[in-house]
Amino acid sequence: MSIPPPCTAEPVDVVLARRGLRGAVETAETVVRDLARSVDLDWAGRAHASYLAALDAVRASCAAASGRAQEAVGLLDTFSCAAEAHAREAAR
Amino acid sequence: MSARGPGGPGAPGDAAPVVVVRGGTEPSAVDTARMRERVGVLRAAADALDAAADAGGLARVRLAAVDAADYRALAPVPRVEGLSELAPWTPWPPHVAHARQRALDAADDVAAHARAAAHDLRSVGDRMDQAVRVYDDAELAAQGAVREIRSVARALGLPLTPSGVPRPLPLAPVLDVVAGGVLATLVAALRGEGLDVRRLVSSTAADHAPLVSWLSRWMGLASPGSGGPWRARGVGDAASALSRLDLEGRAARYLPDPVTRRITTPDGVALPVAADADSALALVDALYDTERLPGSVIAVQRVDKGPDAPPAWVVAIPGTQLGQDRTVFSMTSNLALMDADPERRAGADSVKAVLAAMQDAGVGPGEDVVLVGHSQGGMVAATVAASTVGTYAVRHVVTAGAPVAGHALPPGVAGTHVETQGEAISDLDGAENPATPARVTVTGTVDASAGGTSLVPHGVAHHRAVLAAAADVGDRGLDEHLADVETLLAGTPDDVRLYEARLVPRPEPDDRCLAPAPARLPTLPAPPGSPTWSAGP
Repeated sequence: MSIPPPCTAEPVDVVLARRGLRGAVETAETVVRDLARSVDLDWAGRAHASYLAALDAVRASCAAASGRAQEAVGLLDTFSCAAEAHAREAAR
Repeated sequence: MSARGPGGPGAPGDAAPVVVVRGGTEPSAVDTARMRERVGVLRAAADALDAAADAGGLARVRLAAVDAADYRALAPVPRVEGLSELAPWTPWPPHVAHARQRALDAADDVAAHARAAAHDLRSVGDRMDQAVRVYDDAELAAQGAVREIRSVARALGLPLTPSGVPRPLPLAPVLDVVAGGVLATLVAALRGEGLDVRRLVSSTAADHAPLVSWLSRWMGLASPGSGGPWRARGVGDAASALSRLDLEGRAARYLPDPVTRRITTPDGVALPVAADADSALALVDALYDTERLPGSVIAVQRVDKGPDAPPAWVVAIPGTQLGQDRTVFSMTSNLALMDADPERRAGADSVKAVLAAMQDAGVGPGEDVVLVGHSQGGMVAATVAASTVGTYAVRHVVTAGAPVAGHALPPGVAGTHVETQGEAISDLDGAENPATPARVTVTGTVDASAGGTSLVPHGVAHHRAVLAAAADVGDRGLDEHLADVETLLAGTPDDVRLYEARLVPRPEPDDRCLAPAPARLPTLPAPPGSPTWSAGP
C-alpha cells in the first residue's frame, strides 16, 4: 500500500469532515477509558458478571468505532490527495 | 432484596418482571448511591457516543458534497492572457471516485458503530437504574407501609403487637379480600363489564395467603390431627380434612397403587435437555404438551459424569392435570400432598408414580438427584426429597408455582422456589416459604394478560421469566443455588426417559372372580290346607 502524498489544498468541507472524524476517534477512546474505571461496582455475583460482560461488549463496540474512525481519516486523506493531484494534473 | 430485570426465555410479553429474592446464605449488599453514580457515567458516555455518531454522519454529508470543481478552484494554475483564471474542470477518474466512496463508507460505519455503542451503553445504564429504583422503592415502600399501618392502628385504637404491628381482627383476611378486589370485580360485573376472574385473582394477590391461613384454621377443625382440640389448625389440617372426604371418589374407583410404565418419546418431539434450573423447568413445561404426549407423564434424565464418578439424575414433574383420564396428578393428590401428615403426603399417587419412575430408571442410592416440579409437581419434589432420605441422594429441589411453605426439606437438600404474584396456587400454603441458607424463593410480578389465554400467571413460562429476571439482576444466594444446580447437572446428558403414570380402575363386580353360589335345593310342594300351629304340651 502506497502512502498518499501530502495534500496542500483542500475544500473546507473536507477539512471539517476530517475534524469530525478525529473528534469521533477521541470521543470513543475517552469512553473506553471511562468504562475501564466503571468496573469496580461490588454487587451480586451473576449480576456483576452480566454488568462486566455488557461493559466489555460496549468497550469492544467503542473500540471498533474508534478504529473505523481512524481508518476513515486515512481514507479521507487518500481521497483528498488523489483529488488534488487530479486537479493539478488537469490544470497543466 | 428486590430487583427488576428483563424478560427471560419464553417470557410472556415485553414487560420486565419485578422480582424479590428471599433466603440464601447472605443478603445482597448494594450501594445504590454508587450505582446511581455509575449510571450517570454510563449515560454521559452514551451521550458522547451519540455525539460521535453525529460527527461521523456530518462528516459523511460534508464529504458527499465535495466534487471535482471544489478542487479545481484550489489548484494553482499559471495565468495566461485570454484564458480563464480557473483550471480546466474534468470529472474525477475512477480511482479518485473510488477513494471518495471508501471514505464515505467508512464515515457511515463510524456513525453506525458509535450509535450502536451508545445504545448498548444506555441499555446497561437503564437496567442498572431500574434495579436501583426497585431497591430504593422496596425500602421506602416498606418503611412507608409500616408507618401508615401504625398511624391508622393508633387512630382506630387497635391493639399493637410489641413490634408495633396491629393485631389482626378475627375476620381481617376475609375483609381484606373483599375490599381488595371482590367488591371492585362485582361492581364491574354489575356494570355489564363481565366477570373478570383474572382481575379478581390478581387484585387480591396480597391477601391470598392470609385468607388461606384463616380458612384453614376453621376447616382444619374437622381434622383429628394430633395435639388436642385446642391446637391451632393450619393448611395441612384443612387439607387432611378435605382429603378424608375423598371428593373425587378415588378410593372407591381405583386400586391403591397407580401403574407407571416407560413410554417411547414420540417421533418429532424434541425434549429440552436439563442443564440448569431454567432448562429443567423447560423440560417440565414440555410435559404439558398433551397434543404430542399422552399426559400424566414424568421425565427422568441421566447425566453421565465420566468413568470415575457416579451419574446424576434430574426428574421433571408436572402439575395438576384436571381432565386427564386416570391421571396421578389429580386433586386427590393435591390434598394428600398438602396434608400435615408426612406419611399421607408420601402416599400421594403422584409421589408413588415418581418413585416408580426413579426406580425403573435405575437411580442409585449414592447418585445425586435434582427434582424439578411445577405446581403439584413442586410439592411432589419436596415430598420425595423428604421421604427418600437414605434411599436416594436428592440434592436440590427446584419448584415453580408450588405451595411448599409447609414442606420441610431434609438437611443437605437445597430448595430453589419460584413464585409469581397473583397466580394464587403458590399462596395455597398460606405462608411464606422459609428463608434460610438452604432455601431461596424468588417471587415476581408479571403481566398475566401478556401470557396469552391464561387466567393467572401460573404457567411455567411465567416462572421462567421471573427466574431469568432475578438471575439477571443477581442475588448472592440465588446465584449460589443456580450454580449448584448447574454443577449437579454438568456432564453428558442421556436421552430423556418418559414415564406415563395412571390410576388403575377397580374391577367391576362382573369381572371379579366370585366363589360359586351354593346349589339350590328343590322346592317341595306345600301340603294342602293352611298351616296350623299348636302349642306343645
